[in-house]
Amino acid sequence: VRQLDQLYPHLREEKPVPAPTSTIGAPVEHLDLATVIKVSQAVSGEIVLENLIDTLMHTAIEHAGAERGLLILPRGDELRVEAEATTGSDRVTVGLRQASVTAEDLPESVLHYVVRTKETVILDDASVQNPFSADAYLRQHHARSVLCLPLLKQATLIGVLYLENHLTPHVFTPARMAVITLLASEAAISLENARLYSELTERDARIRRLVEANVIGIVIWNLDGRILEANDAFLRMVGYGREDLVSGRARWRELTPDTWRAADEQALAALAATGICEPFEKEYFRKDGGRVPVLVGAALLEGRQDEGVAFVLDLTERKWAEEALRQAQADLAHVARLTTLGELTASIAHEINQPLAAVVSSASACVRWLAAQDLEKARQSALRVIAEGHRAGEIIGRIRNLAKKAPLQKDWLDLNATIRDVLALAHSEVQRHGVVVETHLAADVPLILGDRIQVQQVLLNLLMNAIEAMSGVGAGPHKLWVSSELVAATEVVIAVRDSGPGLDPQSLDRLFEAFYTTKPHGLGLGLAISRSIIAAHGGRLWATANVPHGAVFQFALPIGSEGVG
Amino acid sequence: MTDADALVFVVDDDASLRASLQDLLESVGLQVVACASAQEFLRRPRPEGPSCLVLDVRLPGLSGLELQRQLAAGDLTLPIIFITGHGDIPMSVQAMKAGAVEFLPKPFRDQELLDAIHQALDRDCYAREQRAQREALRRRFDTLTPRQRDVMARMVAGRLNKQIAGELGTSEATVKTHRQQVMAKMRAESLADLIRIADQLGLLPPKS
Repeated sequence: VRQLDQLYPHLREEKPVPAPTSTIGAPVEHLDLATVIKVSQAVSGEIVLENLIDTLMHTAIEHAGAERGLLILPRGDELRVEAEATTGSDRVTVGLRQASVTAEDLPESVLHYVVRTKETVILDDASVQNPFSADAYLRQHHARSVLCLPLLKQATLIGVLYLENHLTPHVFTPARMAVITLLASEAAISLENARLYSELTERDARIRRLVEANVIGIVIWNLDGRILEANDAFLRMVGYGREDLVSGRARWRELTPDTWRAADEQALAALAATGICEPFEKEYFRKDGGRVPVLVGAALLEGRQDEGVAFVLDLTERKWAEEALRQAQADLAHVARLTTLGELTASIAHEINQPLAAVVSSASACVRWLAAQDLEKARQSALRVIAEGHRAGEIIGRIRNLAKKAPLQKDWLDLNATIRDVLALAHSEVQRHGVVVETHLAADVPLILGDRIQVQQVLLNLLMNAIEAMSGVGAGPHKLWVSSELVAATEVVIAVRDSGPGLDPQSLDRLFEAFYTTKPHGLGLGLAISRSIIAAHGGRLWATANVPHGAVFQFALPIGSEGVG
Repeated sequence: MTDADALVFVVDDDASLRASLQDLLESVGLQVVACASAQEFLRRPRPEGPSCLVLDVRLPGLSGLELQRQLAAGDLTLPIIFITGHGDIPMSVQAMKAGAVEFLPKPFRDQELLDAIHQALDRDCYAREQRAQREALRRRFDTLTPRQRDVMARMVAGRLNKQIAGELGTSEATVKTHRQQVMAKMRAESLADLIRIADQLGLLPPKS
């Protein structure tokens, strides 16, 4: 009998287990309408996850007559106890746990069964033999009534509700089960909503953090030119207050100087085509009338063709640093130019004395022809005086140009004329060293967009280097070839060849380094500056050996797309 | 000498300055031949009349100073006036030592140049006269027989007839005859005159 007694509850217990879903389809008459409404409202009214869990657990414990309850939610691959509800003397306490499920919390075999099969397990009396009797938890905690039901939403497991009563068996009656089942389905939906809501707020918080950190300017704008929203970083950049934004005084179209309108239009076209525009540089007017250089990138808001979000980065400091660097380079180039001119001083004096001597001679001749009343001869002498006066002026002009501290200024340059100018300037120096210059200037060299003074400086530098290199070697013909050539219709190559001792192959790669020099009094800046000047023109400067001896320094300057013949 | 016979060579690689100098010199009635380089000057024929050279120190190829050296090495002595845009002292010293008439830094006063040119032309005139005279003496000397030259060499060395006869192994009377021939052919009026002529011909040993 005892054996039968033992067997009997077992058999009874077996019943709900093989057909757990039967409780889900509990007869409607078991449901108390008021309870249903209350439960439904309580659970579905909550969107904040913590509040929902609290309400859910309270309701579950109260309506199921459970003594203890656990809400288990999957987090990634793991099942975690989200909350634990316990009944005290006359009230229910819900604690948020957020811990991994352990064998101390509940019968794990039951949980795993539910998770695996998505079916409800009810043990009316766990103390009697049942399929889960082997579970250590059931034995140690003497649980009597046990309910473990899946919270499903469209067959997806949202969570598991575990309820137990240590004291009383058969707690989870069909009437209670009807309420709990309803609660479960309501909870599944609400939990999912709460999760989505929490994800949304989390994402929103991240974006809000970016906006409110004010590390970069962020703007919501529309195509009408209005700035709908902007963070403090942006307002600081343009010097406007929030009230200007609200009143519509700060409009991005009006903030953009005319010179940057085209850039804006290009960006808007990109936005219309792809929904985003790559970051581009522009300027905004500040409220005080000044300008601020910025980097702007934008995207249309999803589903909108007339509103977008943009980030704005203040480039003031970077621009300032760039300007300082450019200024430093210009200063250095200027110093190098003056150094070269200093080396040329004697030659330059000669260069000016030449026309002066001619002026004096011709003027003297003129006076004499006048005395002899040979007016035609006198006229010719006077014309010569004028021409030589102009010539002296031109020489001084060339020197002054080279010595002056001018900002980089690109013009259409005739490179052949530039070569001739520099050769004229270095003419005496060439002669002083007994150097014979040969020029091969191609007639089809097109105009190049470049800075005349800087290109002259590079040429002068290469010429002076070549002359100096050759003065080191003894007698013999010191020859210098200067050539210009149009290569592949894309660039002009200027070459300066000498018949000097040539270059040491080992130091070839160091030639263009700053402060590298082979001259006893050189600064070692000439070639470094020359290379940076040519690079600033989008070209290259390089050195090779000349055949049979000597060195060739050449530079290539690209022909602009708008190059003219 | 008149300026009309005189010829001035101007050698400067600067075309404008060359033209201006030519203009200036022509305005005072000088004839000018302008050359762009030392080589071009060397290719020009020597003039008959007095001439001088206005030479730029720095020239492409052969420099002014090198041209001066070459001219001195040959027999083409021509007074040189240097002009330069780089008035450097060592160079001017070198040029003057080598016999330049003047060393003028550009730009120079016209009168400085003209004075120098006249001085140079005078010097050339004198040199030409000297040269003509020397050549006349040389022609006279060429008419002497080898024996007469031996006798003349000993006469200007201060030997007596007896000594000369002894050295040449001949009679004193023969020496006396040679001596009269020498005096007549060289058109010397006295022994002192003959010694001066010998000096001009470079027959005397260098003075210690």
